[in-house]
Amino acid sequence: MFTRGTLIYIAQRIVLIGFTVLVVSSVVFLGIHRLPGDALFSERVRGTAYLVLLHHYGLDQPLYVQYWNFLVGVVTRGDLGESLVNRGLKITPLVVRELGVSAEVGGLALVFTIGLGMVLGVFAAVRQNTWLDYLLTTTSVIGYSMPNFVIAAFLIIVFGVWLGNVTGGTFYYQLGAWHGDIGQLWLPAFALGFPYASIVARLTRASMLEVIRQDYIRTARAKGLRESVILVRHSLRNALIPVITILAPLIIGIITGSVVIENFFGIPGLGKEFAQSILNRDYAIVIGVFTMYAALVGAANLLVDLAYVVIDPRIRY
Amino acid sequence: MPAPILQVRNLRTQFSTQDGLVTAVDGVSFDLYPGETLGIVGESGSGKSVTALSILRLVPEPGRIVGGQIMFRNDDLMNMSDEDVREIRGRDIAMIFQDPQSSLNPVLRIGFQIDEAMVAHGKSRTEAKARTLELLKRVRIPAAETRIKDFPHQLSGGMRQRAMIAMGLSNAPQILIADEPTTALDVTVQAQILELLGDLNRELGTAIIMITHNMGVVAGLCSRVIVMYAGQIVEQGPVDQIFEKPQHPYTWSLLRSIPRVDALRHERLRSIEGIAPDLLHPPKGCRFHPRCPFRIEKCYTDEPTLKEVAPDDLAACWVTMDRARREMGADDLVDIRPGAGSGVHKAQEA
Amino acid sequence: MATAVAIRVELELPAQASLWSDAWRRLRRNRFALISTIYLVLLVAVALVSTVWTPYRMSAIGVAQTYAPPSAAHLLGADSLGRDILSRLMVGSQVSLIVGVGTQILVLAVGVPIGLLAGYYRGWLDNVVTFVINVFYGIPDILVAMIMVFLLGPSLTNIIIAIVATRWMDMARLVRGQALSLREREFVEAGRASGARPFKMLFGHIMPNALGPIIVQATLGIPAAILFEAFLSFLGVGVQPPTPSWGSMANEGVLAIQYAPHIVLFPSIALSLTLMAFNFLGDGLRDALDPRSRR
Repeated sequence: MFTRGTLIYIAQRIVLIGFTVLVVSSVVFLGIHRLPGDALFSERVRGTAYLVLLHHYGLDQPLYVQYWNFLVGVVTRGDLGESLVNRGLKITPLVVRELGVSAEVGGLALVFTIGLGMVLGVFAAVRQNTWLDYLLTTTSVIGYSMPNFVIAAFLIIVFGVWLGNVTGGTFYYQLGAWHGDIGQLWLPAFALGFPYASIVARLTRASMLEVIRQDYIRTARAKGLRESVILVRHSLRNALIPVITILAPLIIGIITGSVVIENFFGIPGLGKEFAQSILNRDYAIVIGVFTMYAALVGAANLLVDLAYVVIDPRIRY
Repeated sequence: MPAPILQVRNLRTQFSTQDGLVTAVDGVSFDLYPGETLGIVGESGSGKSVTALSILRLVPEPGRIVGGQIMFRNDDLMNMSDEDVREIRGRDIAMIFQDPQSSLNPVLRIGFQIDEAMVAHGKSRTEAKARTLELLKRVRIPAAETRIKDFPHQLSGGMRQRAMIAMGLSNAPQILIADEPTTALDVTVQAQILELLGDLNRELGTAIIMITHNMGVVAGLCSRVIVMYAGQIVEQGPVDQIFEKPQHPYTWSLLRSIPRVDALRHERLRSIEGIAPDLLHPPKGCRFHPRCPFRIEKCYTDEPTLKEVAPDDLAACWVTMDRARREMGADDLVDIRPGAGSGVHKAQEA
Repeated sequence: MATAVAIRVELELPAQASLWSDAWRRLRRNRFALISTIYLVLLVAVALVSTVWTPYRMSAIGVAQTYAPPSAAHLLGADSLGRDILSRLMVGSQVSLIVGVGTQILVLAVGVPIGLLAGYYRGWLDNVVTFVINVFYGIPDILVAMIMVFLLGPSLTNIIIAIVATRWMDMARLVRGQALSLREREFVEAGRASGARPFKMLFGHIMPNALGPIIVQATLGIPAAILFEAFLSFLGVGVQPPTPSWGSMANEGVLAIQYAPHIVLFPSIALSLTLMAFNFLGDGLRDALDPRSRR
């Protein structure tokens, strides 16, 4: 499966991702540093204290020197610098930790999206033209037309206000724990993933409908295979191929959506950090989070391309 | 004569389309004897493929088998449960299809797809794998040990079809139904596949039902032949006899239309005039009468049934070629337009 | 000298079945698309009306009790500052529509030419364009948009620019694909053979044939843009107060969700309905323009 050609391809892609991340990061770095206004300037800090601060962050040096230091730091030590607002707070460990949180919520949303979406899609395809199918195709448009915070608000109203079931408007997320509590995470994950579950459902349905008509399904039946085997082993695997195609935009959509959802629920992930840092004008963190996101997107794209190789043996790099 | 292993009686299969009800197979009956090679021949739309699919109850929506019996080993397949039919498929009666490219699952290895056929009917994985290798060698696929791990797209058209044949024969079925297995292949490969099927028939004693539109294939492989037109059987009998002395005008026209290598250059290609019948509204009386050179008045109104018109030769015709040769000078006819031989031209009643 | 005699022949020409009339017919039969169109027409009407009149001034604070539930005086209730929600919702529709349509107009202006050039000429131009498109796709759009809006200032124009800057690739990629496949068709060869100038080839021959998918993409791009703006506003980097945006209205409403859910509910419903309408319409167009659809 993973031939030499594939491994070479992976290596090439990793290099490309690294390159893109650096380019993107640089653009943001240079763009932000050209900003008028000053992150460090506040009423409290003046005079010599201000100059000391400036020196501490290396902001008194010319731009190209700063940029070079930044590049070297990122490439050799993975060091994204230090927070401008909270002095002494190293960015890299912060961002890594928050990545874990975001990945957890996002991952849960992804599993839910694909899981629910595919199950419903297969169901609708197998029961084509029944009321169930019709119901699904209509509600799926509604599903992906609702912004995720609308779904989240709606869920909170239903579960939090009317049923009194959920911990109010914000979420108490246990920092330091290895992973979050499903009891708390399901609601944001659901809101995050639901719009995409609808898209996956529609696509799976369309794809299954096509696959079911294929000649090789007829052959499988003529061999005397059980319907369940035909469904899973023959139909589903082929129907998955178009779904993988939208996996990349889907993951990016979840990443995008997570920014909103994290802010909505107060989940301490990358998205919340990003929004907060922008409002706080903590540009160092903004650059750091952005770099992390660029790497994340690159990795996600690569994983999707590799998923193709696993599912469809006709694809080899 | 040993007892037939398959007896089809009055099979009727319909499709409900947007424009109406199409009866693709209309009252088809025939027997299949152990180890024999039976050809079913006809144009597109004659119902030959649907007949084959009906035997295994594989007719796709919106089609339905609406009548008839399919007796296999004293059981009527039409009365059996889905589960019982499933057991018979691939084990006692197997079927292979026309286009091996699309008939094989592109994401699964060849070896696996053949193993599957056996595992589904009780063999263990290891047994199946060993036998698959054996089968691939039997169907003359070179380098079978490596080929077994290949995916369908890595094989050539001929090898894919051989793999399908191996799949079909994996459980040593009594009947193998082959639906136009050579149509999608090159001519040279066609000949090889037919030869393979013939050898396997002799070695294993598997009866073969060969569906085709190509008379040459029938001549090369089959001992008996059924000719179908517009969903009905118009003639059936031993291949040699039918080819030499066809009794039904359709069969006769079909055989005549095969271009001959030794034909004179300036001779026109002889085709059957008219267009294929509309199965939504089939012609009244004999379904072939709008295109038949030898039709008589009766053909417009009364539907003929299969009768023994010569020893061992059943045909559904009011005239038969014997009479056409005697009275209408069939052998000397150059112009074979409808009614050309008999001179009967009646307007088709609306 | 021959005199030409003009003979008038009355010809019964059959009704032209062009792609567009066929599509129109199919679209009309799509009930969801029809309802959606009606809704959207009403929405535009509301937006137009709101430019000159709303029940209350949109930024008028304290005209009602804060958090007041829907009543006769305030049909949709009041928000945390006592402002009339219905009025703000009406003005907010302007924002959504302007963003939605505005972004797509720009996306068309940018994406279509780029796509056409890349797809038709191929070669190094295509390689460059594809590379740029892929780079853009590698960056999470909302982050860039947030930074852009923050840097440039949160005005409606800047939001539109930010959205266009992060989503133009969808149209460019689509048009490029269309150009790639259309250039192989015979009519292109014929055009070239008869000496058509490049501009005419691109915009007179290729683009008209790609119009169907382009229209569908633009129609579906509108709700995507509206959603994007709602996200930005929800996060606080959208249009600034006092201009109401459905997204920021929802954001404000979240805090009061437990005792005044109507504040978050109504803008959310407005957003959902509008997005749904555009999506149904876009879907309907896609089905109508697809010559292979079997309804």
